[in-house]
Amino acid sequence: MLRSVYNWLDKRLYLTKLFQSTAGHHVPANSGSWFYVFGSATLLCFILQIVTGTLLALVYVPSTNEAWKSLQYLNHVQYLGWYLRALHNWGSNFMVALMTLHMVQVFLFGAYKYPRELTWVSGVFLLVATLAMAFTGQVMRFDEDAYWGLGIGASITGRVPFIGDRLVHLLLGGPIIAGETLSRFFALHVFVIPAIIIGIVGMHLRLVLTKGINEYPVPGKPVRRDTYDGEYEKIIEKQGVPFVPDAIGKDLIFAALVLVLILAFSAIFGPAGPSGPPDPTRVDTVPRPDFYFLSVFAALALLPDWMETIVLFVMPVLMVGFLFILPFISGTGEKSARKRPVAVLSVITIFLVLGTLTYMGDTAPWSPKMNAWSGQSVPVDLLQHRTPLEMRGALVLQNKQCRNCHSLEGHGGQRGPALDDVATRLTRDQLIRQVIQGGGNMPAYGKNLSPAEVDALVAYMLTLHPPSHPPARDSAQPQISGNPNAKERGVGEAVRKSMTGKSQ
Amino acid sequence: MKAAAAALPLIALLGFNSGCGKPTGQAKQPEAVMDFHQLFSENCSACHGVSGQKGAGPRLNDPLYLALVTKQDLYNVIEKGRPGTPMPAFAQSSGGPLAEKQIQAIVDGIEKDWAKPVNLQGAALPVYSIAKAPQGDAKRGQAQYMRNCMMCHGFGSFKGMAGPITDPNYLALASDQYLRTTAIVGRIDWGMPDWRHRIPGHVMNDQDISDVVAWLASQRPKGYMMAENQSTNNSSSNRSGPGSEREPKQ
Repeated sequence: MLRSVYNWLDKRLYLTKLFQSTAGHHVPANSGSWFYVFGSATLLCFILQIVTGTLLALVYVPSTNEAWKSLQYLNHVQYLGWYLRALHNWGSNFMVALMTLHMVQVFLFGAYKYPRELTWVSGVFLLVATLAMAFTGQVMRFDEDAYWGLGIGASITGRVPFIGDRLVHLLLGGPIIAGETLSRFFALHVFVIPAIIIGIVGMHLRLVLTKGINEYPVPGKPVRRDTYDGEYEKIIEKQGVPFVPDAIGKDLIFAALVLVLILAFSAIFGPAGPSGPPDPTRVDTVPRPDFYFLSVFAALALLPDWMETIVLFVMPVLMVGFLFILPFISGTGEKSARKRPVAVLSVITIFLVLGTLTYMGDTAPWSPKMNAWSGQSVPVDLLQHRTPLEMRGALVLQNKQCRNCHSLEGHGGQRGPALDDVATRLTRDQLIRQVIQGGGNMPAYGKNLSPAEVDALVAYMLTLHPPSHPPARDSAQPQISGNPNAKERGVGEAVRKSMTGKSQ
Repeated sequence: MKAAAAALPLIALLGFNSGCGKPTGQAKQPEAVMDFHQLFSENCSACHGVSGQKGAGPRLNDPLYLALVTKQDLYNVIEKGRPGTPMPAFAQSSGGPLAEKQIQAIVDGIEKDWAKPVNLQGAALPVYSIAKAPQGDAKRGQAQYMRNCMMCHGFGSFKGMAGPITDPNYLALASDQYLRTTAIVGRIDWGMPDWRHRIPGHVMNDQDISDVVAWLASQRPKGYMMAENQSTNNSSSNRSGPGSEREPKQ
């Protein structure tokens, strides 16, 4: 009975044929490897993103006024709303990570070479589209990170030659981040880019079917344009197995693992943000992009002015352009990573650079900690046995916000050198000069400090040296027995007098 | 495989039950923070110490000090700061970061957590405010200094173990009110006794304290008058650059 129904349907829909030419197509048996599971796992993440994203869109309000509130509603009021947000967030993290793994694997296994150039090119399109999803998704989480991330994105766009202003206008729906901005990004994130991704994924998969899955590379067996197609046919004939059910096993196990991990990470670590509301009048924010853009964030923060145009506009074009033409400049030859040291070293180098930049982006040692002056207390052991003047100096250190850039015992800003042992590096006179005149990236504080404040501050800093390490001493002056800085009341006095004289 | 299959629902279940990933509080506008401990640690602990003591600035976790000052005194100082000293103004009306109700929350928190009944052991609590205290006499103050303070803070070439307080730069950064308050309550956390325990069997009285403060004030060099009494010191007229937003407004 069932069989006859199936046959009736099959005669009209050609189901068996469809199965045989897609899921049942023959693949090389050795491609059923643990290295070949990342692509399908990325697709799984994308499907999960569509499902969770659709559910989120039922509640989310894409308006600048309501977005942040509707996220709060999801987090705190809607039953399991937080879990839904967490799934979407971790699904996106996993998607970016798995896509990267997939790409690295394809690169190292030479799978982009003849005749699969278009598979690789469509993959590069998917890479760009996925990163665009990640960025627009970060904007959907309309908090302070999103707001400032958007601001940076817009000002980068604004520097595109000739059409920069118009592009910004198009992107933001006006010259500034306002009412229409979020609607535009919502449309991009929910309609435009997903549609593009679905289209390209279709092409990507079709190419996998027509050109076949790359056989497991064998060192010493280079690809040659004239012989490869025949060789591949032979491999399929000799040791081909249907993808379903023979080769799909590892994909399924890995997919299950990825699903469990996403479910577990979402339950344990929860959703990202939203952090503070997207309020441009709040200046004491420390906005950070999501982890996949931390490396860009770090690079932009660290590069010198004159490199900005190059890094912003020339480098991305070169990098993506290189990815596009890669299969055409190295379309033949060795596939195995064992015979391609340059490829392996490139991957290692790229990941070292990205990893370092991401770490730096996360810690951001270049940005001052704007609340250290009032929130990071002076360590107790750095206050013990200090004179009343030195204690006042510690207060000046806090009150003048030195801690925002200089740390004590690891707490405080990292922009300037730590002050724990500053007395071993600078003498009293050098400290006074540095505080008053600044230099080496430090602003001059002479006009912000009274002579008494300078004196107290320097007196305190002179106590900052390890007990085993004596303070620095002026080699032009004969060493005086005892503490070389204790007697120098007279020097401070002279400085004070000269300063008072100057400002009057 | 079986173990993995069993682990899946278990992990999911654990996640939901403990809900460790579930967001607890929402990110707040800084003006909406009303928790005393958060407010104190973000705004006060840097100078006054993590738990209100052992900081470089005055000890607030001190029942004696809290018996001496009123809540209004605390409020006023936090609101307007002490111009010329390292205590900045925190009220938004004075250019600081805190709303009025947040300052009130800090004052209430300090009183609630740290104020305790003090056993004065028969001694009278001196007057807090320098304005209401008896007029000090610098000459008598020097004698009081020699008697009560010199052992630790030294005099002339004798350096006491606690370091000098007659240093002109120290005095330039310490208001008369600060000197008076410290003379009364001491700094128990750093080992400085209060007004009752400097010399065995002797308790300083209101007049003694005023005299010592008057003498210390007389040691302050000219042109270094405390900003609380004058406007501010001479270098403040052209203040600009980093840190200026926290400067007390004139």
